[in-house]
Amino acid sequence: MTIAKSFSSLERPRVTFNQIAFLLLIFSFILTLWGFWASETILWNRIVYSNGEWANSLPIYLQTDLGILREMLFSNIILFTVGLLLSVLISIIIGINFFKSTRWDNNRRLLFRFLALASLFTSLMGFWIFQSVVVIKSFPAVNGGKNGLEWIEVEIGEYSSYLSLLGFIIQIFFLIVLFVTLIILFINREREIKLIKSEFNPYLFILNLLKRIPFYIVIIGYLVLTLIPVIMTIIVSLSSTADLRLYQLPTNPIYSLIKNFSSVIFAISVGDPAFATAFIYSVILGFGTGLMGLVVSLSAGYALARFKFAGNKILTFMILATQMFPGLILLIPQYVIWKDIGLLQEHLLLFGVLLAYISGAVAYCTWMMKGYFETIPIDLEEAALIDGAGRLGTFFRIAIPLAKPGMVAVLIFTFLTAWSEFVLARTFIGETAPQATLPLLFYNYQNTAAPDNPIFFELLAPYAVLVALPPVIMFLLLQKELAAGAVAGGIK
Amino acid sequence: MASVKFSNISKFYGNFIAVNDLNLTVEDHEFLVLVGPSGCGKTTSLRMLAGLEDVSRGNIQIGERIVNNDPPKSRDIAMVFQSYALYPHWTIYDNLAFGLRMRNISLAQNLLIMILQFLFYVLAFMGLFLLTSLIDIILPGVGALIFISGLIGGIITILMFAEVRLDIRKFILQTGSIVFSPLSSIAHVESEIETKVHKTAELLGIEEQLFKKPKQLSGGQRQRVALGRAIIREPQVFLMDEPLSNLDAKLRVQMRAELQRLQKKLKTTTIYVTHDQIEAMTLADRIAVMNKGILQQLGTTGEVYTFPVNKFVAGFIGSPSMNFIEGKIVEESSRIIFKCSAFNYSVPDRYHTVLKDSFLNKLVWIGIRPEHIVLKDFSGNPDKLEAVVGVLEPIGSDTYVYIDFPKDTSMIVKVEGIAPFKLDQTVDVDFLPEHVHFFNYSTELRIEPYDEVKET
Repeated sequence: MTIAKSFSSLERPRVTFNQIAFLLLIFSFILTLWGFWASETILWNRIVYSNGEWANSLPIYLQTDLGILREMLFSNIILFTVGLLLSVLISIIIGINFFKSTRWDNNRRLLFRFLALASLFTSLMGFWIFQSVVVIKSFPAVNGGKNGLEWIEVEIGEYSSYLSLLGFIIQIFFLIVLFVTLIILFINREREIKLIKSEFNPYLFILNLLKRIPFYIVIIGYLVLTLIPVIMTIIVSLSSTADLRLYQLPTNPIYSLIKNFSSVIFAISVGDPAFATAFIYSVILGFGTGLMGLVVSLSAGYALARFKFAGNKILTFMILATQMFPGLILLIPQYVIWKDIGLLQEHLLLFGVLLAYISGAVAYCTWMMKGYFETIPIDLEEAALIDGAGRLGTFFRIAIPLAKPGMVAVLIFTFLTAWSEFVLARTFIGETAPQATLPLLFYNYQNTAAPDNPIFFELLAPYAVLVALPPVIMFLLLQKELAAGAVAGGIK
Repeated sequence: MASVKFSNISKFYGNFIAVNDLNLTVEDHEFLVLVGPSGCGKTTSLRMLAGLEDVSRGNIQIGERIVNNDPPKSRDIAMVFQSYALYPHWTIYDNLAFGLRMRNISLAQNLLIMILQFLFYVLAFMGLFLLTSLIDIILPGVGALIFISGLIGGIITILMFAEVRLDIRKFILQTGSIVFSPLSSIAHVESEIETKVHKTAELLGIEEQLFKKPKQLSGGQRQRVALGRAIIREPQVFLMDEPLSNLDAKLRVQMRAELQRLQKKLKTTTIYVTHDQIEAMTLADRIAVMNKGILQQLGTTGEVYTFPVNKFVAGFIGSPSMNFIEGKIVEESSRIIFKCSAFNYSVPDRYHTVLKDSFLNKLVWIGIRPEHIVLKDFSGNPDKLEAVVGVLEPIGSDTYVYIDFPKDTSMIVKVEGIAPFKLDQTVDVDFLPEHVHFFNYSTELRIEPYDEVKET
């Protein structure tokens, strides 16, 4: 045959330059983040607490001896150094890759973004290292041992200053690389624009701007309405207690930010088991609803989308019809039924709530999955049938992997439903039960405030951020899956 | 390899008849092309054979076996789809190996492999942890560093590189079979599958693409993978549903030739569905022309071209298609004349008896292919037909000349090379008498001379 080429050995695709850079970048990120966390723990010790709920816990350096801190700092320094070296290596790789050609393809854009992030991370790292050295210097002598200053001088000595110098030099190197890449980016951007626009006409520009003003007004109005809660949360998290009491804007935002977040992070890790419990319950409910919803909607959606059986259309419509009533009208009947069956007993309570959430979410999910399965070309499944798979094999090997974006959408939808749900949880679980979920916990925090035990709003704001974080992280991780294109290349 | 037999196959969708009483036998090793306009039931017939559609009436046999109620997987056929239908979430290697794996590895064995793979990853994780803990005792801090980087590096490597996963699978099977004897048969099957995949890939020239995903390939390469997925299983019958229609014109011609060579090499019975008559004529051992659910004619390219059974086949096969003019058969001074509004044409001798017996003073169609009309400069001879050149369409090797007779009758003529005629020039028209066809006006069947010898 003419097309038949004989290869003596199979040539594996080579790992490209960019792939290596990508891997190294991820390593360096992990390392720097780890170091960041270690420094954060040390830094926390510096903070003197006011008479809030977490005041009863002592700073770590009063509870433990200096040896642990020394190990921490040591690992911190190793991580920082390795992270920095890796970042330098990456930037050199990117630089070589970059100067080979001036064309900006997507890979290079991505790498440039990574570079910017890397430099940001390393500069943060330098800051934290500096902080921790200062913190350790301020340690008093405990149990007759050395104090922090003595320890730094004897054990680390000049090492810390070398480290600072190294960090400084590398920062400058990064700045130069960033500057050069920015210039080239700018030049190339100009080139791209020249291809599209022939000439810049100021009158036309202003006219276009004027034309768009109503549009912008609507957009800005919408943004103001939607972003106000977020902005409020951010402002509150930047305030101190005094700021909030006096109704004034944050006076020392950076100090307050560090103080608030550090307090909350520490409280979560050691001081406040209620939050951890509520967090775990919320996660269980969220993922439980998600997984059960997935199991039901995958099989039901596939059957409705692919099989012809009597009553298919009526069934589909009836499933939709259940969504036409507001869910709240089911609250009291559900409560009565759940109580009668005995699902609200203490050891079954979580399961009962899970079941209620699932019953609310499954109908919509089935519709979503049905819609998604209909977009998957039936050719693929027919090919699998001919290749020797049965109906079930086709479902598990072809349909489910291809329905990944739909599954992600269902998972996120059900997870969010359960994560932020309040009314049903308040009814079924009650306010004071130990099984309180996160929304209930916040409600409790606000309610239990007494005159002598005021609410620390500035601490609730970081809490809110932490609660909002899991869904955001989920979105960020899964957004690639959500985007279309999972079936690309399969047909045509 | 086996023959395929359709006996009295019909397919109804409610009141609509998609395939009507199809009788067709495809011999062993034969390349049969089903051709027809869209909606003629050719794809439906193919899908019934594949088991993707139920048969309303009749029997389908593969070899000696009636397969009407068999599921697709037990029919031992392979199909190439128009859309290729490659599994987009797998590498080309997995795409090719899927059919073999489904047939040779049972569900229990598959589960066993999955469990072993899981165990392998757990053991690898534990091993890494233990090793790095040991290092950590000697060099505090470094071990942890190695652990976390090794873990992340390993995960990313396994996720990103399909060939690494394949190597791990092979490694598990090979080392596992030393300890646990049932694994040795799976390992044997896997290694056979690997050899076959490489052999097929080499045959089709896609060896370098084995560890890519389908979306990283070009159209022609995807086509080859789809073909490879069919041939790797060595089935009894290949079914091809317009496999070349998504390729660009140049690639289509190239793949057409390759497909033909491949079939001659593998000698597998092939049923090929297309609406493109050129593809049909070039590829086929025999062509089956279908229209409106009914098989019109079954024969070699030469037979279908030279002796079309009716007006539809005559018009469908051949490019540009045959010219048809309706007219009456009359007898004038002992000559049989075809008389239409534009011209009178005395019919060739071999048709004399049959036309005189049954079609005197009746309407018939005359059919003549564009390549069987000869144009000459106008001579003024009253015995010759004359026409005016209307349009000239040169395509390089040939020129299509549209000639206009009086009374709005026109014909298309294929002239070799660049035609030496000008627009509005009057020309003499000659029909090559051995290639003139007559068709019954009402039934549209071809009128056959009594003593016709059908040799091509």
